[in-house]
Amino acid sequence: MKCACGRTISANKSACLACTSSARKGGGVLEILNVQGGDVKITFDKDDAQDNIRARRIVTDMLRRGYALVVEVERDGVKKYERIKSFDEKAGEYIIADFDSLEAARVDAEQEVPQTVVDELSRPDALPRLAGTAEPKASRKQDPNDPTKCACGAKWRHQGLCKGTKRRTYRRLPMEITKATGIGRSAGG
Amino acid sequence: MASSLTSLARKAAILPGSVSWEDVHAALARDAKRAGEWAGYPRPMEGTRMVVHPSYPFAQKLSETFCPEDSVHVCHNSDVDESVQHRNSWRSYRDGKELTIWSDSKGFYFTHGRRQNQTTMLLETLGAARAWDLDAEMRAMATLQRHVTEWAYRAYFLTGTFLETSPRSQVIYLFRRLRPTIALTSRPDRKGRDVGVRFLAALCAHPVGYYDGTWAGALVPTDDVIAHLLLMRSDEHLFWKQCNQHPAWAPEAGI
Repeated sequence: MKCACGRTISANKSACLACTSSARKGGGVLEILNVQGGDVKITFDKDDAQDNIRARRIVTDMLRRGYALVVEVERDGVKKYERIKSFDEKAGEYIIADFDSLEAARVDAEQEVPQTVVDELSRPDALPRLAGTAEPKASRKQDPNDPTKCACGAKWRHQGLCKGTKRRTYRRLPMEITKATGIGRSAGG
Repeated sequence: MASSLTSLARKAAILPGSVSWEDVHAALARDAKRAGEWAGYPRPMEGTRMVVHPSYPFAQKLSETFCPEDSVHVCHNSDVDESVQHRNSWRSYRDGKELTIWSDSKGFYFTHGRRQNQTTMLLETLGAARAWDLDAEMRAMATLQRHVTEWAYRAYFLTGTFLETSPRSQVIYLFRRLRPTIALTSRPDRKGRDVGVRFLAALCAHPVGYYDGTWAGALVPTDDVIAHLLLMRSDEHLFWKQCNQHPAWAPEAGI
């Protein structure tokens, strides 16, 4: 009988020692949904340099081939899933977009509504579904000296983010402590 | 093709009947590993056409293996007749076929595709079960258990379906074994009317490949469900982009 990682195991075991000890320690595992025999599991052991280099090459190669890699992350004590944007092979770290999609949706909702939409809403026959979207943006601050300007220096009714705000931030996750799942390229259905 | 399969083909040619399906599957697994295809190569099945992601090596060959001769036709420029015009096409519920009307300089003609309804798809899907490992399915079930709540796993085990709502879009997804995932919403419709929970689309995607005319993918059924679930949770936009979106009335939707 064989373990999911390919090592030979006895019939009364479900996984090999390396896989079970890594899972018990909360170590990094990459599960790949596989046609033959279910999932392939690749465990990352910090102490085994050869194994580590091999694993890094596998992850880089998978991303190059178009696999979707999904990692489990914890945000505010809640387990969430994120897709890997890229991988730093030298450091052995997954790179994911560091923003909460729910938080991003909330900020989007707070974005200032363009004047055309405000005009449209002020009409008596405005669609009821648009009502409530004309809330002023709460996170943006007005310049105390000049009410026509935003605190960032741009005009008060400017589009997009304020000057100096980081547009995109990334978070790095060491592969040795992260659980990831690899999904092959989709053929549609 | 690759070396393991080539040697297997030689063996089969010298001693007919000496190669089993297990040997073919093992050779495919070896070659996939050697080529760095970590999701593996799909297993061809007799009488069923496969649709494999075109970037896979040998995708064309794998998709044509065991295919009935008349189902494979590669188009050439000479096949195109400029005088022919497509007039209309629709799906006949009564016949379960796609009907097409076309015309040329001499008159109007009609043609139809092969009968495809849920019964034929169900039977074809049943046949696809030969391609899967029972151990692989059990392993996938154990993986799914780790990703979902106890109630969702219980529901999946007993009914083959479970529900999950996206916190971002508030779309309700009904994940189903061997059927496309159904996307539902409780938002008002286009005219702003509150119509309760309504159907958006049946989302169908199979990593690696699938068997044409069936609901079966190259991966075992629960692995397909895991792929849908994880993609929805991690990147909902990509999930919708990768899926074929079937309307509720299409037999492919499996409703």
